[in-house]
Amino acid sequence: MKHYYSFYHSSVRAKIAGVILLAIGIAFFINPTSLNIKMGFASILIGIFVIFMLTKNSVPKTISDDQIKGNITAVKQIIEKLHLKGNAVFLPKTAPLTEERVLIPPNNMDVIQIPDIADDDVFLTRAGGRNLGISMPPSGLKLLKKIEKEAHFENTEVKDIEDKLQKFVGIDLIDSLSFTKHNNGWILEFEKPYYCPNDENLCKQYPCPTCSAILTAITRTADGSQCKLWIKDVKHNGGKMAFHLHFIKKRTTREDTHC
Amino acid sequence: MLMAERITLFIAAWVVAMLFVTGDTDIEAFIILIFIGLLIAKEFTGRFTTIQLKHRMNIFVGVFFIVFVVAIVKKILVFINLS
Repeated sequence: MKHYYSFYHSSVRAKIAGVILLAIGIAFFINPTSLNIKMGFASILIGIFVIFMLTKNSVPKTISDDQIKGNITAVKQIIEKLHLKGNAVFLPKTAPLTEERVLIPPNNMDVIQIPDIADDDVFLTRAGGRNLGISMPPSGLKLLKKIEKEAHFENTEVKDIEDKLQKFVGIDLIDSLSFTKHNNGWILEFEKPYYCPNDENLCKQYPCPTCSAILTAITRTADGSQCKLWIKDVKHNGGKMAFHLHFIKKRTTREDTHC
Repeated sequence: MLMAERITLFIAAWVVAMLFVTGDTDIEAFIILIFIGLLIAKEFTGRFTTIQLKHRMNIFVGVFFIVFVVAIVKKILVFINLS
């Protein structure tokens, strides 16, 4: 396979800058006074640091954005065609589910009917054919599994999850993140991920991979319980976004039945 | 800005600052101050960095630790010889 190197690639630019610094550093040693030795050493050190630290090879942003955009558009169309108006409920890994799922209910009424969902269930109906919404794997589940090679979110209490969620900042998916208790619920606030569809309705119903991975990680605090993570609201504010979240019991979003 | 870029920028700024702080004095103090900067960067970014980035930082810290130990041993030897 051919490898193409472009000057516009940040790691290539970093290597060029590093080599220039190394050359400058070596040049200082030609006339080795005390100050020149130190300046040469500093230049060589920074050069080595730049070469070895900035090695991230990445897909150009426009291409990776387009890859996500295609999937997001498909899901958005499915939601629209099925006339689903409810906000997403993240279901934790509780028997019979072996992986987290996102339930998109048909509406946002106080009572959300959450049937027993198995891994294979997608279109959810009640006896009599009443539509209960759809259940899909979270778009960020694969991403979360990748991140979990470095940080585990299972068996974490909800009050401790904010610290663990900083891993998403560490791997450069987002710039900052906070997860704070607010009244009966929680507010998850962070700077918009590098790809954001900027569509509040879509964020409420089927968040894009980065947001979904964060929400799935939070859902893991409810593993094995009857609590589900419900997106009550999503607010975009310039470069930031906030998810208003509630842990709800099996069938309702009313405040008196929150977990 | 990526985390690796932030760390690199901090280290570069620290090295330049220490160059001005130490001025014309011996290089050992300069190296030890750089080592302290590396430790600060490693400690403050620990929970934000990936395993690969941590490994790379550890290599630099390891190298500077060895240099630090050599510098200390040299100072001790000088002190013993003097006394």
